Amino acid sequence: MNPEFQRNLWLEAGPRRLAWTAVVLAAIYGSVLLIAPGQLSPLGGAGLAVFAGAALIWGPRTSGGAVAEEVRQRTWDFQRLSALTPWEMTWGKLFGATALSWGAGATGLALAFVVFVLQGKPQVGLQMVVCGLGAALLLQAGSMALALVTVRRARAEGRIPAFRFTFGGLVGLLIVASTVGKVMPTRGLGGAPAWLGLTFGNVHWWGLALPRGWFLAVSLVAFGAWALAAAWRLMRLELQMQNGPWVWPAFVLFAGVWAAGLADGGLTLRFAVAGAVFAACAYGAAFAEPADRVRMRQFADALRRRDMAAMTATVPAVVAPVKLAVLAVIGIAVAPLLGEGIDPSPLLALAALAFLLRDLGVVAYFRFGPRPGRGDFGAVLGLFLAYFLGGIVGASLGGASGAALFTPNPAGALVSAVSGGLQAAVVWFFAWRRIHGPEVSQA
Amino acid sequence: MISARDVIYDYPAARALNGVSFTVAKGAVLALVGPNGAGKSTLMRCIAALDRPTAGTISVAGLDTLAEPRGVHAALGYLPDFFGLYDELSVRRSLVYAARSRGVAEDAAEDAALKAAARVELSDRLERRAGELSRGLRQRLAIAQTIVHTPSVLLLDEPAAGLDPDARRSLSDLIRKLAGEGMTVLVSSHILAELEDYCTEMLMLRDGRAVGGGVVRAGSRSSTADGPARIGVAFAQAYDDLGGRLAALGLIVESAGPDEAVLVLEPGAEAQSQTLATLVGAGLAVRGFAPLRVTLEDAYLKESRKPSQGDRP
Repeated sequence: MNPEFQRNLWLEAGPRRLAWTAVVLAAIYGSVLLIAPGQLSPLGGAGLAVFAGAALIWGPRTSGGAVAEEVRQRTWDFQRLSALTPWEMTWGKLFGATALSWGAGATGLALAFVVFVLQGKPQVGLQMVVCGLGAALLLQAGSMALALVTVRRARAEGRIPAFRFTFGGLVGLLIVASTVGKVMPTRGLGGAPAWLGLTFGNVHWWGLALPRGWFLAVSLVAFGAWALAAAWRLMRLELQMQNGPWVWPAFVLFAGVWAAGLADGGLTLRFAVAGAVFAACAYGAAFAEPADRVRMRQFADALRRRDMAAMTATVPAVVAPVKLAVLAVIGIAVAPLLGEGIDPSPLLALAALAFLLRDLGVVAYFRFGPRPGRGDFGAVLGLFLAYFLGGIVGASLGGASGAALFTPNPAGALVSAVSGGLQAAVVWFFAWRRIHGPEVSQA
Repeated sequence: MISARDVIYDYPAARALNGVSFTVAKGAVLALVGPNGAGKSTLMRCIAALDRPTAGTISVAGLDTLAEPRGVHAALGYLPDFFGLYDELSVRRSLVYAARSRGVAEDAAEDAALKAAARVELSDRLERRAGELSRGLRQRLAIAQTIVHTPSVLLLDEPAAGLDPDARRSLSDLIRKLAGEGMTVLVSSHILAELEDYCTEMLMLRDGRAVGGGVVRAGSRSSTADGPARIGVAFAQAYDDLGGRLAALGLIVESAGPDEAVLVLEPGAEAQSQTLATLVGAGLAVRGFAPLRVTLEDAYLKESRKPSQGDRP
């Protein structure tokens, strides 16, 4: 047996904890049977609630905690020195630390499935099971990846990591619920919540009419697999191994293509949606990567020497989504030539790209500052001021044209593009000065 | 066994290591000394391939820490200054997990755990939870976890901190025993007395640089090795110009007072017995004649006056 999985079972699924979990579950299901004897729907609802609580809230908390606790208890270095492979370490933690929450959640999911079968809706029940498993994997693996990002950032920035997984898990849950709600906006069955995807009808994805429930289920499983891959790759970095350069761009491309397929419009709009997803990935990467000056300098050096191996080893994660965003803008410019629509306009897309570059410069400027611990807050505040104060100043200068100086604005797309480009150049000049120097002082 | 070349390590706002170079032979016990903040822990973490140096190279057991970090991890055991244990696990389970996670086969893990427990004298507490152990026993368990897979290199960062005298003695005995079995041990501490018993070499760090010529070997601070021996001689009465009288006997005098002197002799017992006979034959009232062992503290103070690696003369 995987020793990491076994150790987590020893810690998390001891007889006392198992007994307490069984008592709590019996109390929940027993209460429902007492309140609504003989009714299936309340029992199925209780099962879904148990699953949501155990696998979608408790599970992400413990999966993130599987890393956070190691750091808090000062056992993380011991683990990093182990002979386990990154994959063994990842799945051992992910499924070992959450074994009890998976067990509890499984009872709820199984109960809900049985209820659907007894109601004559086995297909819906099956969709619900796949959706639930995909969502749980997405949130739990995502929470672990978030914890690993936190550890990595803190080490590179010379500070103690602070973990906020409960908050992260809940935010993730909201994102999933929101996504599901948008894709599955219609009626529920048997009193089950609509966000679990228990709906009929089709979703149109790249022109294909696909069953909504199955589209959602497959999407959740796919994104869950990406989250698992993210956790594994971050674990590789923790174990001092190098990652190849292709998986992150592949994910960004996947996310863009997935979202673009849902866009209700022509190719131009699909490029715009994909570009927005690429931009979101760039913002995420700008905050998620450690503010590691040494690595940035090594990348710049490799770039100068045109050393491809060194470049791929040190390239910042933000580069791939920015490159893809540039391709999306080119796509928006080219699509009208192929007879597609001109909304959004290529100039507006160019302006959005310029402001993206400016924003990334703002993030870099603050995160590579002398106090990395306050970099995130400074960056968010800087972006807020850039848009909020910029909007006020722009409006006072003269309506939409003035506002176009500080935000990508369709009423003054050319002004936005030029202004955004200039701002990006200025911000990156100062950001690069921080990254490049001054030299560190003697300890 | 351990080789470092021009190692530099930068934190975001400070340089922790600045061009450190040294070599440690197999089976040596190296004392890594220096004041707090000198870079000892950072150097250990770089040797353990837990942190990547900004520049320079380190090899452990022939493996480069940058190119083959996982191989380095497998070759060594590392006990950080602030270590943690799985408080809810028993001593037995802690050690079995440590063995398994360090690559010991499943069917051999229990035996490895029992052997490691025996080495640190924890065999009678196998079923106790780690959280129930005292500070000294926790330290022993941590060391047992570190050596359970019999690594070829052992890194101990401030291992005796917080231990009582008995536990320190046990630790010294264990380190000597491990070194005797061929394990290369690197021990960091800023308390020199606790390293005195077992270290064969010393590397002093100051402000992220190795002081003096790098590693100082035991032979240069002890009278028992092959180098020249320093002998302290005490006399029953005071003599005028004792130094001159001793020099007239053909002896090399390092220092001399009215009733005591330090002589430098050729290595070996014969030179010492001949010198003693010469002194007595010259009518000097010798009341003490003993080889002087330079303490680690003496060596430390001597080295600390030398410039660091990379400093301009």
